Amino acid sequence: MIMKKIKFYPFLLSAFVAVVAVSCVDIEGEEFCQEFELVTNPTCEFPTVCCPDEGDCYYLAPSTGKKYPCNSSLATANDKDGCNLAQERYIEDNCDTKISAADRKAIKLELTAFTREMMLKARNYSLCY
Amino acid sequence: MLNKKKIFYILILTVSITILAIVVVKTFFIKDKVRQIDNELSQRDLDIVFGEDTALVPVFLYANYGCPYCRKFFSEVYPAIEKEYIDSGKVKIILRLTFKTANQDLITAMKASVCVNKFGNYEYLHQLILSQSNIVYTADFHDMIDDFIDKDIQVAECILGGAAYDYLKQNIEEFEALKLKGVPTFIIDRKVYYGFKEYDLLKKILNYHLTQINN
Repeated sequence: MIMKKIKFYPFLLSAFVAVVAVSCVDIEGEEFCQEFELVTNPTCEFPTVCCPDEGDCYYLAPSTGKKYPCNSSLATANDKDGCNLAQERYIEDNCDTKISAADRKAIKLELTAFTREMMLKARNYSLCY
Repeated sequence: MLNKKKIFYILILTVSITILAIVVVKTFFIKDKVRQIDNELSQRDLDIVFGEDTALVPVFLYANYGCPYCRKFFSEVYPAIEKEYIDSGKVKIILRLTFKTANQDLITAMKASVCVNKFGNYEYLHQLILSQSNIVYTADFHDMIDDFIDKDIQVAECILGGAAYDYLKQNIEEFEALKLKGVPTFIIDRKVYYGFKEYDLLKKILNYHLTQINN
């Protein structure tokens, strides 16, 4: 009787080891996500941007889990990863109720002005000793 | 006498216990060792250095502006490091721009960065690329580089000649020779620290190296 019970222990132990081994597989490198700050709309919920090893990056809406994929085939000089459209769609879906189109335009203008100011400073002061 | 079945079960049991023991020991008892490179790194002429030349601890940072965690380091961690360690002369950060790319805009931007750093004031260009890394693809940025070339003969020679390109190539070759995994990577006193580090962790690392020097 005891022998019969003992017979099952190796199987149970093997199963346990298999579960531990499989469940602890390091998934680092498979997909790389980070919190992403959407600068064009500070009142929006911050999306997460995920970049799988293969394929395009995508924005992930934290509350709904909806994905907004980038499209690298649409990349341009000013949109290196082809993510502008995905950003716009995220804003459309998640931020429109919170700020008006006019506010959004104002924020974008402010950002452009900020960049220009930094560009001007870099241009004027980089070669000053 | 043991029959074949019993031997089989005992074998499985032994193997299972061994595997389990290895998993448990590896998971709970072995801490990650910090990798150490064979030779100490030395500062090169075109390195971008944040801090005093005489700083006690040189931190070699392999990074680029396109990498989100490199930017996160500069925007979130660097200001505190600067206040606590760099301004006091304890630490200097030697930035080695490392980006394996064939994109001419990126290469020109990196060349301009090391040359402006060498012959001008890099602070504003650093802040600009840090805040908008995609700016390097714009016509305005190209105009600015042309402007630098027109204004300063040394910067022009550095960007258009082979010095900056060779330096950047050397960074990549060194990065590969050291078998580094990615950016950002910090190398302090031959010890390799991979990836982004929050301020508290980097502080511990820097304090450890400062203590080693004082001893």
